[in-house]
Amino acid sequence: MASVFRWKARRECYDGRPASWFVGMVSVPLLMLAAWAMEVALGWPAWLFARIRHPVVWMGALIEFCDRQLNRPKWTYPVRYVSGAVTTLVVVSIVTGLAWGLSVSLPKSWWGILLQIILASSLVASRSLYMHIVEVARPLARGNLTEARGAVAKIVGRDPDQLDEAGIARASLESLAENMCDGVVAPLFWGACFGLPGLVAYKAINTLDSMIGHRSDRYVAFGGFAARLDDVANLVPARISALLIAVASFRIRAFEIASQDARAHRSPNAGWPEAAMAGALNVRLSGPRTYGVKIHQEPWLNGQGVDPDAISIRAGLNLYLRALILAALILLVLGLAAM
Amino acid sequence: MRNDFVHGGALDAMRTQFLSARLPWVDLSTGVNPWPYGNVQIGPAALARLPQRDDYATCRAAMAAAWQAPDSAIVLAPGSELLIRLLPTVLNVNRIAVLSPTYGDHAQAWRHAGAEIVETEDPLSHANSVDMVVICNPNNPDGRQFAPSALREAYMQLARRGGWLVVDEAYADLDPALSLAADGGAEGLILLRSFGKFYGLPGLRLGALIAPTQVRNAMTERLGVWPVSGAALEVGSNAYRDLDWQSKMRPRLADARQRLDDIWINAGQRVIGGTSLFGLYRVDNAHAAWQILAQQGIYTRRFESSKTTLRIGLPRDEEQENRLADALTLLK
Repeated sequence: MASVFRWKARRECYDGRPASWFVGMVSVPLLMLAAWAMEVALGWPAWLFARIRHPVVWMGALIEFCDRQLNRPKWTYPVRYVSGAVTTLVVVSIVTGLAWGLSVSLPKSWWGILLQIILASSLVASRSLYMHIVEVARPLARGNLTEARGAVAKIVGRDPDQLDEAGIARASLESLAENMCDGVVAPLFWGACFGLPGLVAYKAINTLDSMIGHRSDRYVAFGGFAARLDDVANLVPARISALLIAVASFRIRAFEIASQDARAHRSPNAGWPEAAMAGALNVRLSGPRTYGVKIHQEPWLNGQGVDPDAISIRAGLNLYLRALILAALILLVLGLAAM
Repeated sequence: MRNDFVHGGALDAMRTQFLSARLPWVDLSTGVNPWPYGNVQIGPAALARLPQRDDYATCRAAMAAAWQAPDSAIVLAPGSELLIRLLPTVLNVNRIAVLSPTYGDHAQAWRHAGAEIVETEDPLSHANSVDMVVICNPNNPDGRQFAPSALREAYMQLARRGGWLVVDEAYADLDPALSLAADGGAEGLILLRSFGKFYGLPGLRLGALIAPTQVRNAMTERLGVWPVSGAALEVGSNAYRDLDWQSKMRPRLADARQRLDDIWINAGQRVIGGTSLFGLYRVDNAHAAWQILAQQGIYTRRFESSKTTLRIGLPRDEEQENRLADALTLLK
């Protein structure tokens, strides 16, 4: 990590062993870039999923096991909080330890590096996010609300039956901005800082948050620690994501709205990329929403903007691609500078 | 008996409580027009079949024209009282600023829902710190008026944070210039309208919600398929379309209110406020005064929270005015 700050990393330590910001002769940012390129080109092929599932599914199984064993409704709030915190730390330690063991024990030959790249590529989700959002935009542009609702139900936890065109577009753009951070920028950020173990640790934290980090009766205590840890892990990546979106949009308004409205958001992090997206496209996002049967108060991001529609989703996807190209360039510059 | 501190209009309970009262009773306990809209003939179809989609649309269109409101922002309901009760099931809010004093059911409904309530004379100044602001315009019982421009600023401020301004416009038909109906459907603005008061037909049970899409959809779902009866739709449509009746009624009510004030001033009492449908008067020992008036067969409205005010509706005719004037001499 220190080498990140020293800017120009040394390739070798004094005793001749490779420095920690390198895997073999490849700097970690370049390794991440390669993993990401593989994800963009191939995704996680269906035949592979059928054979071995997916690393996130493996983590999910571990978390589910702990949840069943250690989250007992009859326990008191503090006990459940602590048992959830222990679960979180154990899960993160196990998977991060495995990743670390792998990264130091794999030979630094081309196939050892390739295996790390393949593993890392499975934990970035830029392509699948794009595909999911396109599947909402397409029926919505044709005016087929039923199909668009079905597609949006796969990416957000809201009751899609309540959503009109603006609601569907809003949900997709919010999801695009938030998941650009969770699924792409944050994994690559932690990967670029700490290599495969960093990326895996982040994915473990984020998976824990999405599985047990809700405020429902069952998880408010058990998942409390995981949710806070996820907030910490996304603190920097969320702001980087906002910056990427704002710069890629060439709109001053994106910076203004992010700095003005992001803090009002219910999440300390997701508000940043969402506000930047709202400002960049000049649409309003967030706002009151229906959970269960009631409409909950929620501040607007860029409340002066217009309601988004199918065309806004297209513009959002376009902006997403430009922001990711910018991120790739940054990784490339960092990676080459380190070499 | 029903607690007379909560609502007026319970004449049956008064009859049994004050058996020796002077008859006939003069009911001035509500702010309802004493000269009801007269065209209440309904065709047999209004009752012999379920109300049709078109019947609802016709009534909404008549309301929209009368209020200068966007047709699409209106939801019909069986009276605004039910809307007040249902709003807390639609919106999830934690902190609310409610105008004080005002129609008591607002605070009560939200308190039941578990919201934290600030009762204040200046609710608009809380627009930055609460989730919702509730006011009546013009206000019941003191007739206080809020400028639409100030309300507009408040709801926009609330809307930015996803909050709401609820304006109970139960008496806004008296002065359409006070209404925010033209803004109907705007984010953060919820208006409640009432048919019975201005048109003098509270028994019909007709009211409306004017709100943004999300709130409208949720309320429509709560109200079910036939929330308003065929009779209410037909009478309501006729009344709201009758712009001539409305424009003649406004000065007539204002005149009657002026005469009501004169009666109180001649009796040596002070006017606090009110609308063209009721006056609020300062009376020492208001709770005792209420009793004295009741024994004279004059049913007025007193308030649990105020021992110095009575609210009085409009007398229907000279005879009722004289009865009131006579009774007031006993308050000296």
